[in-house]
Amino acid sequence: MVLLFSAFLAMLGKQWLNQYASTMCGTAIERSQNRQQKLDGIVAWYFQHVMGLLPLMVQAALLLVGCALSWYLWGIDTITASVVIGVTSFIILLYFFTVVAGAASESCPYQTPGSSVLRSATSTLVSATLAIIFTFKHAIRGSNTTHVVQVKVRQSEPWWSWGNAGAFLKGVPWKLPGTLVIETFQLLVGFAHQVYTWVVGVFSTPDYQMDQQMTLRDLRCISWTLNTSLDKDVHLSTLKSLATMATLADFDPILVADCFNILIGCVGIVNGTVVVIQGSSQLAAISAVCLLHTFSHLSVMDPIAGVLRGVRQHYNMVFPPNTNFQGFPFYHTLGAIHCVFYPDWNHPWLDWGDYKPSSHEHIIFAHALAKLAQYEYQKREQDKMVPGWILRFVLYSMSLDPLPPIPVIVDCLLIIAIDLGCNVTDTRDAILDERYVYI
Amino acid sequence: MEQVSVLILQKLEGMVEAADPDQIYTKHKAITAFFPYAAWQGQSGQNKMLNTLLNAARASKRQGFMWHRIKHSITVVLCGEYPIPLKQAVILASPHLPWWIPTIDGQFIQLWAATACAVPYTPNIGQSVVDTLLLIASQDSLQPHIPVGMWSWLNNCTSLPPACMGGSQGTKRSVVQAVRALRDIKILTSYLLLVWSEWDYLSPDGLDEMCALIREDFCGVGMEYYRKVLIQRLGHTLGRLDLGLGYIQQHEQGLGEDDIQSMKGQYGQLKGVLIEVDKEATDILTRESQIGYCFQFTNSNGYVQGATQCSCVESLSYVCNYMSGCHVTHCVATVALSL
Repeated sequence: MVLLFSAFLAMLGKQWLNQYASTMCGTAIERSQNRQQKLDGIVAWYFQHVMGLLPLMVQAALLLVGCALSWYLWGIDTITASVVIGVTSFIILLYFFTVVAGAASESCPYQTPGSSVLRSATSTLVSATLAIIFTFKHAIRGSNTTHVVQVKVRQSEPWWSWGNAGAFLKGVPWKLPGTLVIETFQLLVGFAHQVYTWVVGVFSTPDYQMDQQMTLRDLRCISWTLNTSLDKDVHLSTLKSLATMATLADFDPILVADCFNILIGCVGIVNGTVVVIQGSSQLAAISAVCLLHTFSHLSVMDPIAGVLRGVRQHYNMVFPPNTNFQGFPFYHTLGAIHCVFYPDWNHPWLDWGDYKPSSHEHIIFAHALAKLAQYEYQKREQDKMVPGWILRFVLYSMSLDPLPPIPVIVDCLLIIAIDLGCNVTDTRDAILDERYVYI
Repeated sequence: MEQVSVLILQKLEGMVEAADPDQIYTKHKAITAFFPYAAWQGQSGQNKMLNTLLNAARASKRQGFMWHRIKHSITVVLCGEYPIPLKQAVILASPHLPWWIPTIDGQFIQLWAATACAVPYTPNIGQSVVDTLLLIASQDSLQPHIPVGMWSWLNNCTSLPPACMGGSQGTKRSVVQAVRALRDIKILTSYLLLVWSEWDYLSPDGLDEMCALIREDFCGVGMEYYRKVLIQRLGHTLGRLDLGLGYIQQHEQGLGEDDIQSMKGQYGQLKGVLIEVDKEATDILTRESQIGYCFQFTNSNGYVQGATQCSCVESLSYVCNYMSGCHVTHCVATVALSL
């Protein structure tokens, strides 16, 4: 029955995958959004886990058949039964050997889902045991007063005495047994939650949540496209799409590195001066904007992200501090990026006097600089201030006639408020809502 | 947008109340960057932002508080066809501009002067223009570019606020000489009344020049009215200094008792010179009060401006006041020759 059920599931799975792989019509952006939507569904609905159950069911069925056959033959012919038992035992041992070998070494090629589970369970068990020993020692010695376990210490006895151990064990919540059970339970709860969310969401998903979900999907889609494609035109259209996104939710940090890699693939340095590789100027310009856009966002959301450090180190290797950007087609964007990556240098050369962006570009730029201003202000321990080049941008933007778009003014005011030391975090959400009305 | 503006305003007001000039100055770039927005808001009658910003600039007690990068934006407003309130905002902020930066040239001064004359007069505008005028005059490279007509603004303004930059910088010898060179006793008197309107340190070389000009330009019987006005103003200023350290420190926390004594000495010296000159003139008149004289008024080039005959001190004084356009020292010289 198990075998039949697994065969049924396998066929069902084949149908699902066929549906997933069915060709889609529409533009490249629409197709990639559709692909991302399906991929997100696979993750959200634990599709891979369900599919992962099929081999397990076949293995379980084989084990049951082996056991049943051995049992049946034992009553008829002991010698034949012994051969069958031997073969079945060998198969079971081989299976356990591959599971243990896969769990013991990640480089072992015989990896199965069981190996991952065993490895995870072992490490959890070891760390939990160590934590309990550590807690026990410190609780008894009384040195760690902040620990959750409160133990009445018997001062007359040593910390490892039976009396103290008993007192400790009374205080410890029993949560060790069955890490595997807990994980399985969590999986089931997650699945149930997904079903509930879907059912509820069908009837009452607020618009802003829908927008946020769309943004998240688009960002994953962009990240995937940049990672998988080597075509410049695809990169260009993808980055254009990224540059038009006013809001960036929790995107994959690797997107910053993708933008940076595309940028340095388009430019080179000859005698300290930056030059654009022929035919790549448009891609270089848009990748620079996207780099500033994503880098500033990640700097605020996750200032200690490893990607930021990596990109910074890479940039410092490629562009020396005294790099000349004068006369460059997208001088202001590159200049701002350079200021970001060399924050401790004085950058009086970055002049905004001839900065003539489009409205949308201005909005994106101001938004990025507002985030960078917040990041730079928070980063400094003493002399808290926003860098002068950002304030110069504010002064320039606020002096334009006619005044720049309202989102730019809002961001400029935010930068001023940050520099003055105002607490803008309380008002940020309201400000963001107000700003996006105009986008 | 409203929320952020309110946050900024509250912060600025807090900084002004805290009266910590150093703290305010560390944020002068951000405050300057806020200026264009405050000026635009002023167009629709919302002057709160601009006033708060200017209060912060004053509270910093620094000359040239505003960031020098604002010069470009200011030039654009001064050159272009912009609404009057925007230009008014620029004029009100002009005492806080860094006038010493090399990019400010004669052309900029001309633009500023033209704009100052174009905006409607208010007491605040008058104070700002005079304050700025004195600051510009204190810069040797800029002084020659000041249009002569701008000096008549000194006659429109009656006082300067305490501890303003123009008041202190405007007492340099070069400024005193520039005003004196105009050879206009009314402007000269107005200038002295302005720089003495509130207690402040006088430049030592400017003080010497002032003593000299009192002896030379304010002597003679005809100058009695001006001397009286100046003595009155000095008395008022010395009276303020007599209020003591508590009063002074309300405006200038860094000053001590020694500074007050020193300032009292400076203003007392000027008052002493004025009283001395006045006494000399009075002595001459007392001795010759019954003699009639024939006066001939000439200008500096020796051309006859007018003539009269007097028989008493009252008419002499009247004539001198009446003929204020003439070169007064020549009139007095004539008296001396007659004697």
